[in-house]
Amino acid sequence: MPDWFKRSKSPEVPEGAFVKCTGCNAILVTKDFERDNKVCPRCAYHHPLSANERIAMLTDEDSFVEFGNDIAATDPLTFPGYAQKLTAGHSEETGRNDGLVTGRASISARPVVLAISDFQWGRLAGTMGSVFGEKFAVAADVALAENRPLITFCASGGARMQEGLVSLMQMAKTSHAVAKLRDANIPYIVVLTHPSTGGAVASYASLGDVIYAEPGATVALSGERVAAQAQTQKVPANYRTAEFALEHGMIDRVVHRRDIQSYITRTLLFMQSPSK
Amino acid sequence: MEDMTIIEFETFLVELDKNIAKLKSLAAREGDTAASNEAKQLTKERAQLVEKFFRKLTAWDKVLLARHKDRPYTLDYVAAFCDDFLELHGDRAFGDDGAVVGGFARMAGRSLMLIGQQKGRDLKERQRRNFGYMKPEGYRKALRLMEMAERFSRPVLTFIDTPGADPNVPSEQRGISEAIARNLREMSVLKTPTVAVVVGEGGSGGALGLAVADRVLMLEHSFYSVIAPEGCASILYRDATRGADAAKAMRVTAQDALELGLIDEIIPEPLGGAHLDVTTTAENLERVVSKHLDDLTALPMDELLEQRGKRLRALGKFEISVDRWRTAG
Repeated sequence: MPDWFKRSKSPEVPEGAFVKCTGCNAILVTKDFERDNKVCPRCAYHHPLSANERIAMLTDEDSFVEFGNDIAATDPLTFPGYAQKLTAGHSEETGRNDGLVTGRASISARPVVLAISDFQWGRLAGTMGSVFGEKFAVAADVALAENRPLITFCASGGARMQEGLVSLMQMAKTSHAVAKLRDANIPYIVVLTHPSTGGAVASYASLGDVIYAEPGATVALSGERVAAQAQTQKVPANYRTAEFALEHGMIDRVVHRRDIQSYITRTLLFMQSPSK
Repeated sequence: MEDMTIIEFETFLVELDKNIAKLKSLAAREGDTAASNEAKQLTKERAQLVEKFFRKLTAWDKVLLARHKDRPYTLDYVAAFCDDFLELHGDRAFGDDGAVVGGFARMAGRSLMLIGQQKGRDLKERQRRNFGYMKPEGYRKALRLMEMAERFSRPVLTFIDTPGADPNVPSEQRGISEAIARNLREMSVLKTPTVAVVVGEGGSGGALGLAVADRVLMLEHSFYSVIAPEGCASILYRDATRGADAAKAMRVTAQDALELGLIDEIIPEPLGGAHLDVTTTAENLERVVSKHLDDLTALPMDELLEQRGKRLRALGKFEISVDRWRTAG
């Protein structure tokens, strides 16, 4: 075996220097992959982002100030396995109490309020429990009080069954929060990311003045399993995707991740008074 | 008896009743006093058994009762307590959804907009009503009627009885999520008193889409759940047949919902369930709903809306703590 061949597998290649694209299996240089906000340059597959990554990508440097992380779940039903998930989420994700991250920030020098879902947190699939509902409502309250637009990124499996009916009610709570913003003409922008399903899209995430979605994101009421069970007929190729939602008039645009900040800025520019 | 479900128990009662009838006819034909006494004894025991069984109904029994094939549906209650009901149809955009009925109703001397999810009794009607699974046009029809009620200052009464929203391709195409979401938003600020009653199955977002209200009530043996117990079981235990365990874990009964502070009142059903005595159930419904409507219509509109807003804002169970879920050490 020639030396040059051996060297390609030498220990000088650091661990994690390369990643494989989930969409097309291409081998990508991690550094480039992260610079591209985890979108594959070959097939444009949008890989999941944590809330922190989204905030870094979206906001003016050092402008994000988090609030609401003192709101904690109580496990009201003592539901099997729930406490373990909450504990796991708390330790994994820099001491956060929930997958929804809320705070003030500025985007292109415009003050906004953000509510960003982290799908991975606690392996709870970005589900909406009491903490989600309260943090979203607080974010809307801040937006209302300070006349800041509310921008939310959705990544959710829906309501959080571990909190039973209490979690279903978070759909009503968040939708009412949106109603108040609407009455006050506060801009409310929704960005649907993969996956946006269930109770989330049947409440706050379908109520944006403007709704954008990332390419290829799952956007549907029913989860994959339910959809598969319910389907007896042939389904369209792009069924339950952002593109399907666009085609049927449910969202405004499908937007590549690298462009989302500029789309939000242009949207705010239109909605807000010239003095701002 | 302990491990019977309500449906098995009902089958057992049917057998028991046959035996009692046999003994009675024997007693009548042949003057058999022993048979007569036995019939009396069994009848007495039957009543005790029913009472005992209903005192210890499980969450799963409630699910089965709520889905019972003879369970009264919206139109059964309408027939029982409405002096007049003029059904209105269509969402003015796409179609008319048979899984929900709505229209002008007169109840206890009051005009109101009554909207209710409706299942079918026989196979043909069940199909026409899509087994109670509402489509986008159903939620839009309901909203159209609610907004009409608002304009003509009539209260809105909704009846909830659905396994969930319709999950099929055409419903996704026509925006089932948006239709539900819009109802939640609009019902949260609707300028007229609203009362929602879960009369059977309160199936997830499909139920909530008609149930954001000033007062939420539940019939004694109805249930209200974030996900179907079978669906929860298939996620939690990887076994959809363990719906009974999931129903217990999720606390889906009316009594649970009241304890959790999510509903205002439980409306009693006659012993054995609503299907055994629709008239009494309807009377109870009418009485309790009327009481709440009396309270609500007495409030000035701004106060009504403020109370509703506060209610919605307060939904949830959480505490203020940064380290509640921090691992020890």
